[in-house]
Amino acid sequence: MAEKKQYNRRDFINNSLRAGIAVSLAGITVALTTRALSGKSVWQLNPAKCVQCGRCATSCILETSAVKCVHVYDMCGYCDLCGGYLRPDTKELNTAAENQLCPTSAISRKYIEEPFFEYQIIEELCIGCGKCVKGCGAFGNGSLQLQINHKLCVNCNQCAIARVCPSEAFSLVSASDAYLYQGKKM
Amino acid sequence: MKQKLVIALSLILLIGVIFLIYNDLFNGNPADSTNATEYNLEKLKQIDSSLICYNEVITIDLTMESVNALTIDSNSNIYVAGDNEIQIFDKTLQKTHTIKLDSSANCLAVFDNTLYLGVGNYVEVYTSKGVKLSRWKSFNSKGYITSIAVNKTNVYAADAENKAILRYNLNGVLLNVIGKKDKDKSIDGFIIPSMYFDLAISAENELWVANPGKHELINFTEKGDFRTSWGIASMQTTGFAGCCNPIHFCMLSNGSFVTFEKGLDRIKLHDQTGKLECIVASFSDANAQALDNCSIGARVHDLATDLQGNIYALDAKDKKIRVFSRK
Repeated sequence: MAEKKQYNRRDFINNSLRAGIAVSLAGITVALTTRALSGKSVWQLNPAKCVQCGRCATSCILETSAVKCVHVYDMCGYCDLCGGYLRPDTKELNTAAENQLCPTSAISRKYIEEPFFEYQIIEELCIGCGKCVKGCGAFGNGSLQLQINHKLCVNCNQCAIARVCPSEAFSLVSASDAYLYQGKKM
Repeated sequence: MKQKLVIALSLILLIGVIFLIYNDLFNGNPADSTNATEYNLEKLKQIDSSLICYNEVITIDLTMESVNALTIDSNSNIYVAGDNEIQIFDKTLQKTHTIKLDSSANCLAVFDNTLYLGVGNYVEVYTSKGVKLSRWKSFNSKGYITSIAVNKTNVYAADAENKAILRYNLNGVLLNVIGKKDKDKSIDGFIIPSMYFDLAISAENELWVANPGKHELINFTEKGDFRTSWGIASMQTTGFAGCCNPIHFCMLSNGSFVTFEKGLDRIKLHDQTGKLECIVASFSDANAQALDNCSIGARVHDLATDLQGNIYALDAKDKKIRVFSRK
């Protein structure tokens, strides 16, 4: 009768190490396969969830936030009294700095025909605070929307803005379909 | 001795640093911090409570996914359009029956037990029991009817896409188009930045139309001649806020106007000349943030009044009819 082999401490350590290595390899394989199948993911914010709290302007790791306002022209009413451009209770409807809602004057206003005006975002000046987005959403058609600009975003593993976003508007989306604004941007 | 002191001080310093790191990582509450770039609409929504002259007395819960329009007949029956149906409530606020529709109605009016519905670019006519009588020919394929009103000779339909009022007789024959830009008649045309374009007929059978982009209400004759207008743009309660308001209005039997403004979500009562009389209701409340979250669009989708002067607001967020009575 064969003598039963004694399972000693050395065998236990060896088997544990082998099992550990096997689990790690399997995990890495699964992770890499998932990533390869799903393609590259990037951070983006969903305008339908955004509450325009202003943290996009201050929480991005970049010196000037990668979040910018985009203007979806086909939703715009081209209003003279634009809730996204003018401060509430502005006396004059013109481009004077004291009348502008945007803290950095990042929106330009151009006369089209009476009484319509076109509004354009100057991306270099936009800090992504969302004040205009809030004004446009409340009083207008919601044609101003915040989005992460992927020419600027460095796509951190954990987006610093997503961590503080009170409405959980940030999520990872496929890089091939990286923008979530509603309507058509021209 | 000196070495022990250094070690003790180092330990205290280390504990302090650990505490600060812990506090920074786990106890920081960004919601409490003020943000200079935040746009606080709640401040703008605050109004003087002494101006409020109505009490909310009843709410009627609606079993609809989306609610579009509201009207009340001369017997105080309430008609609500939403989803693909019309729900009808009697004066005891009990639901009496439901009329199923092929498509959703954007607006409705009732006269002499006949329902007139604005559906897309055409008008449909039903009996108050739900029998479909007719579908009128569209003005054109692009139209979008957002409001409808009826008296004993005319049906007026507000077409937001064509920026005009379509006047029909009760048989659906188009009689004339009102409000198109016409310099000879001193009519500037309607400015309608979004799909809100309302009208009403007064107790004196006068046609009033909202021109939201100009922040005014306009009175036309039935032939389409401009008679008068009132309204100014202002964030103050005396005027209409934002780019384009009022988006809904109705009229009391004494000729007063009840208006609703999107953005600041307030219902106001104006006298026959347009002067602010008082505030009916303001939706600046604890739900305001949630409303902002669901964002674009107005909270109130229609207004109506009954013969007793009560005001009915169709609350699209809570899916309720809110009834307000004078204090």
